[in-house]
Amino acid sequence: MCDSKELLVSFLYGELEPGETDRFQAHLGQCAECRADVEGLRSTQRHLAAWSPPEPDLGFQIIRAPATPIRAPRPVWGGTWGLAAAATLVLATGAAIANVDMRYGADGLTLRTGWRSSAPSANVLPTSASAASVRTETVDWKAQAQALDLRVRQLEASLNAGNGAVPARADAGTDAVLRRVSELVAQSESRQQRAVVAHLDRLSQDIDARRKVDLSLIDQGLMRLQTTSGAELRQSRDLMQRMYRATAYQPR
Amino acid sequence: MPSTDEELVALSMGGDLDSFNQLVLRWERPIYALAYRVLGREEDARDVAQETFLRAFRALKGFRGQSKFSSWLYRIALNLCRDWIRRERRAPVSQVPEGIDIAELAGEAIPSESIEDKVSRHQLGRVVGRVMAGLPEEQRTAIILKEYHGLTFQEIAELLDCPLSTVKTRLYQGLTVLRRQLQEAGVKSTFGA
Repeated sequence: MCDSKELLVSFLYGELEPGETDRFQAHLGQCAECRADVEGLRSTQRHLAAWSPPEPDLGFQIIRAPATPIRAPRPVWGGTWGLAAAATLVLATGAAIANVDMRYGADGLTLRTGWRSSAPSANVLPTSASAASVRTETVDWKAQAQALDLRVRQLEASLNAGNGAVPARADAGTDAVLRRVSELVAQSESRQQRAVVAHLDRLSQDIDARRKVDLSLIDQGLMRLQTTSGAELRQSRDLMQRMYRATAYQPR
Repeated sequence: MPSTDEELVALSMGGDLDSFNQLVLRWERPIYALAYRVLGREEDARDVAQETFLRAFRALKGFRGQSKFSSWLYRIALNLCRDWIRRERRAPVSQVPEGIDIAELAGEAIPSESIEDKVSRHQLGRVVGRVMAGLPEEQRTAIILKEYHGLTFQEIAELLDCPLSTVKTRLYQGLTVLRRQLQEAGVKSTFGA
């Protein structure tokens, strides 16, 4: 029986048949060598229990692949860059809608809105090259229309004074054209104002949402700081390390 | 009421992904622990565990239920471990951090254990891991499957494709070497503890 280590191992793990267990136990009562073997291996088994793997966060999960290709993740921009990007987007969209004329030269950045003037730089004030400035000009269409009206009347007057052959319906036609021009100008201005207001409103909402997120992050950071201060952490670690040194395992 | 492995396997084979994920949740830690003890490296063990479930999912239609689902998983994991050892051409290691995080140790299970006992157990675990890493692969695997996963001799024999007597011999030889090397490392026997 002493030669059968298979029997000994089966006994060690309780996998002997009941009759075999009884016989082996009877043998152990008489054989000191097998008894020492069993006791030594049981001790080793107890030591083995001390070896445990780390406790990782596994959380494996099988997921089905999406039918459509996965889009690249959207870049997460920080607060400043996010706001800058939003502002640029609003300006670009506004420029496209409001027919903005934007120029940058030695006299700085010039921004015009409304219908284009035929003399772009006539009203631009020179600025220093080092400090670019932004100016916004709105063409006074009413004044121009009135000036045009005045010019037409002057021409009419001169014609009437010359040969008196201008038909009356010409005057009525000019008025209609001027009224139509004024309406178009008013409609265009109204559209531009609505578009700018809508974009400003959207920008304001974006800024507000970002501000809330930042405030929440700051609040969380403060909470963490309150719960665990660095000094407390160091103190407790020092204390634990002292305990560890005092109770360190000393192999013979 | 929690379902049995067999019930979850049947549902998974019918295309129920949630059921398979329940099996993953149930077995991910034992499979990871097996890979960790065989390979000795956390990252590799994690990769092997992940790959085990992927392969099991892909091969589920071919699982006929001749063995337990867990045994089938163990077989896949052990094959992957063998592939890893062959590919890397290096012996398993015992990857244990040098320092001890006492705070972490204090938070471990076994609430009745004093901090001194926990430190001693941790130190002993390091020694055992080192000695186990030095055992031949067959002996180490047999000990791991028996001691840490509680498989029967018959289940181990089927997993390792070897006779029952071979399993018992490997276990006896491996435990005997361990016993001697632990003594040499200064670990005292704990008779009757």
